[in-house]
Amino acid sequence: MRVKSFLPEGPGALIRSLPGKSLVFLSALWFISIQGAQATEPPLRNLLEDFKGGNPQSQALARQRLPSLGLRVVPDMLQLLSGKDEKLSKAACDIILQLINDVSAPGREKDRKKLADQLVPLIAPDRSEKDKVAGLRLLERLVPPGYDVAPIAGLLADNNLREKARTALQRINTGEARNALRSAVASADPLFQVALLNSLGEMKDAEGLEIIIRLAVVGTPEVQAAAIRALSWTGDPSYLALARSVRQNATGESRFDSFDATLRLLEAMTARGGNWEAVVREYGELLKTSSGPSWQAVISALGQIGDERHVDLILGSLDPGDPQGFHIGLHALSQLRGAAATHRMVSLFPQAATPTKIALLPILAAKNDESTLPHLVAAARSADPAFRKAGLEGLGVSGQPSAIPVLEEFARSGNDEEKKLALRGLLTVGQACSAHGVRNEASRAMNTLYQLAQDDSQRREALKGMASNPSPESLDSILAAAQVESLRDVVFPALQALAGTLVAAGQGDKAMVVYKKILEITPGAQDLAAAAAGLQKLDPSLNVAEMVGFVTQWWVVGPFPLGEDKSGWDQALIGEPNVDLAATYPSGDKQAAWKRVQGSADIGKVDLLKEVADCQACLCYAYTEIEVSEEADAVLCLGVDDGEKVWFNSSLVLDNFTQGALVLDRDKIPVHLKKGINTLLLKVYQNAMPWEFCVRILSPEGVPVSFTQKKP
Amino acid sequence: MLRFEKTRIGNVTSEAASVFDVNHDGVLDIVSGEYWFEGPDFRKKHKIRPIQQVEDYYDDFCDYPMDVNGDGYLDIITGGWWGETLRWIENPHGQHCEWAVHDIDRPGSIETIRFWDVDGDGHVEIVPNTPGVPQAIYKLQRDEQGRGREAFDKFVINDFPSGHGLGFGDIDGDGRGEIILSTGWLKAPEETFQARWSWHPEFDLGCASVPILVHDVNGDGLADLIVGQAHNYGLAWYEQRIDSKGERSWIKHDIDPYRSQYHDLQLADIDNDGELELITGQRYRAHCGRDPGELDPIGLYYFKINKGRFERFTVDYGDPEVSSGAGIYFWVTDLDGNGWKDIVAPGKEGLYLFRNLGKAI
Repeated sequence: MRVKSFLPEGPGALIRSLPGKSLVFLSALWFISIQGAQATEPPLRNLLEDFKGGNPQSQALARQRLPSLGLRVVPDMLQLLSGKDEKLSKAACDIILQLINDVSAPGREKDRKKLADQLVPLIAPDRSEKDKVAGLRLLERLVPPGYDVAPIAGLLADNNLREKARTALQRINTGEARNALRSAVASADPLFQVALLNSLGEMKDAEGLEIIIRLAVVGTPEVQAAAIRALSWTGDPSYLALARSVRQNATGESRFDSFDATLRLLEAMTARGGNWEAVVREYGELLKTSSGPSWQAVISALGQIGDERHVDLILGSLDPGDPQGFHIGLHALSQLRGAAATHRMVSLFPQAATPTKIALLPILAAKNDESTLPHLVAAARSADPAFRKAGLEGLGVSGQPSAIPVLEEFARSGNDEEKKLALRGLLTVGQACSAHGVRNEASRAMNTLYQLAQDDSQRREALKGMASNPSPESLDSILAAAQVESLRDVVFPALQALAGTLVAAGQGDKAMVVYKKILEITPGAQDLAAAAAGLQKLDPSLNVAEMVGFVTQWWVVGPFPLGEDKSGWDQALIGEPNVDLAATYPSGDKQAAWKRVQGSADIGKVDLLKEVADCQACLCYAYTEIEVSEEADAVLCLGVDDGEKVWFNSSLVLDNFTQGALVLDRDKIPVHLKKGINTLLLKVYQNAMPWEFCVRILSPEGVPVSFTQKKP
Repeated sequence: MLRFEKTRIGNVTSEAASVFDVNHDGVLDIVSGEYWFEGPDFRKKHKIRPIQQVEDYYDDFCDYPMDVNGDGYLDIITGGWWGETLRWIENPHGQHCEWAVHDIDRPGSIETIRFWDVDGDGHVEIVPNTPGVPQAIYKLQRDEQGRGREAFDKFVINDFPSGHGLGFGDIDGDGRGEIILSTGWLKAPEETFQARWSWHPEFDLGCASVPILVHDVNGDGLADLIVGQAHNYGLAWYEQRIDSKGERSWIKHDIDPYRSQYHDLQLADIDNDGELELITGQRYRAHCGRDPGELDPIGLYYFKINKGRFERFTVDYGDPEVSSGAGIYFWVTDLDGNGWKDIVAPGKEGLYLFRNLGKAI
């Protein structure tokens, strides 16, 4: 009892339970809160006024704000909804729709039911048809499971509104809604029975199956067809017999619907699985009695799910005189998958009519199955130009290695069009072989393509193919391509890949030819480095670096500390740009002297960690002299790990304090070579890790400049 | 033509399955790889043990039930290619905990295992297909009541690698079962495990299925062979002929030459007509995408044998995303007691139950 006295039943109850001082304070609070509550009323009224007023801006703002006031705006909105002002009516409807959306969120079930209660009167018998229509539109989005739909179901008897009521109940799709539609079926006229059955089918009404099956037996032919459609979602093969019987009873008007209903049942059976045999047999049955679009639907379905047994069926029904049907039948054949179906097509091909054969060739080709080759080859060699064209195209599409000799034959000796088709085919087959790892055949196709190509575009594709599938047999083609300026960008990968393959095949002599070719045609840095390394490996006695313009003879001195704030970088630690090779310099507690070193034999790389010191944050100098017989413009190409200053003939030409790994030709400096001796001084910065550099001298056109160096 | 209700069981992709009452509740359960699924609806799954995975294989090509320790609960006999070990997995009396794993032997890579009563004592022996080593048979030691004693005797019956493919049946009609390999058959001696098995290299069945079925296909009184190509295209039967001089020969007849990866075959009367049907299907991705026909549709089939005029009935067929093959070890039994044998089809495409609803109207 005491506990009960503390449970406030309103402000008064709360106040009675409190002592005197608190009572005064809370009274004040209560007063303020009442005032506050009253203060919220004007906004609703104001918003409503704005909403109904003529100021478009205020109206728009009110339209936006009203839904935030929740369900208390509903009575006013319902009033406006029923009003004569169409614009306001529509806007009010939109606000209610927004509220429906809000209360449909999880956790707001009570509000959802409350709103439904507010809206149901819209469809009461005494309301106008306009209100009822609006009410149905709103309720179909709102009615929750468990809610009584009798008021909506009542409208199923109203001839003007029954369709809207039906669709509303269909959208509601609660147990109550399904029950309402189910109950209405028996007493409805046949036309409406069809509509109601459609709804029950859409709603996947399992409880109504008994009623639906009964109507499939006792209904008018149209109702029977609708009933089969209504149960088709089940995918239950036990309804096939019923569907068959309905099709047999069908009249002219219900024939299509009964057919369509069976198709739907078969589709659902297919999706459910486990009854493939029953499905395809029924499709076969349908095919016997169908024509036009129905026939096309069955053929398409068989193409999707059928196997080799359906090749006969589809092929046998192809009629070149019916272009649309012919096309659909061919498409179905193209859809049939699996080796078994392909083999069946291959065996039935000879019996087909000529137009069918020509149309079948691309389908056979696209199966990518070797068993199709004999037909494609025979067609390619046919006297009939249409066959020849289809055969040649097919050979390419087939992607089969055994198509290559035939395509080669036509690429060499066919007429112009045949050559074109054969070359395209060689490319396609080569690419297919490449994708499947059949490398020798891919290489053969690409090699032939290169040799017989009619334009650079084909040559480029062929070179790409040969690069992916290098083979010693493509040596001549690739070397020839190396002479073609316009193919340079694609020939280098082919040359590199070929050289690697030749080395692996023990054909080092040929690999050397390839490497030399790479160096000869002035490759980019990457290709040059790879080729130089490859060549050097093959013949260690060669000085590849000198062959391709690398400076290999150097004097180095160091290390010197970089110093704080890289002070050493800016100090003339050896009195640069002057160089005295006999001088020594303080380096830590020692004296550093110039040391003669030689760059590596492949790219003239000088390893400063080895030749100077294994240090970090340090510097060294590298000096060299080169002699040329004629003055000329040139480009110094430097790759340095990490940064460098460069003096050429005592002039500072580069100051690049940076960090990073050696990248061949990273820094390119235009210079003018004077006749005789030219000097080159580098100051090289080491951050950490490797410390190295290499330099080559090219003409402005990228060709190695001929020079000499004194050797020790 | 039979009707089936197809249900995907869990989301497992093991290639072997079996059916037995795991927890002694009187209801059959489904076992597949790492899990068992509680009947009758098979929605609740229980972990058996973790299994090594290699590419998309599980090292578990058999889940055969056998009470190894004689406790009344069926355990599992298993083996795989990578583990190279024949094992039994101890049923913890249906409790929901991991099962203990016991090694039986390490014979080498196991393609799969089959179980036949080789010595005719009323109990099946364990016969693994170990392509790289000679054929061995493992016999569970039993007490006087026939209860397992957790120990096995191993008998090696030849001295050369077995190859891919394994079968069992009475080839020569002497009442004793022979072991069939892909290139011939091993004739059982009178004392099964006491004498040498003689080798009869009479055929080359290719990369054969496990099992190779021994069955009088054409009803001429001679045992024939039904063989699938486990990693290539083809399903065929080999007719046994004996000429007037008593010489045996084998004539190949194609059943389904253009479907691939028929790895497991079974004979059962699935349509209750009193005749055995051949039940089989593709082992999807049998070599992880490297076998011929890997991109073809997959399927599950039964064939009416019709004295050698095989007629295929397709239960399921299509893309592996929605269709089922047969895996490496499927199971046929009447799961729901409706009098029609159901099919439990495992595989990399998923584990499916095909409830046999009987003949279509």
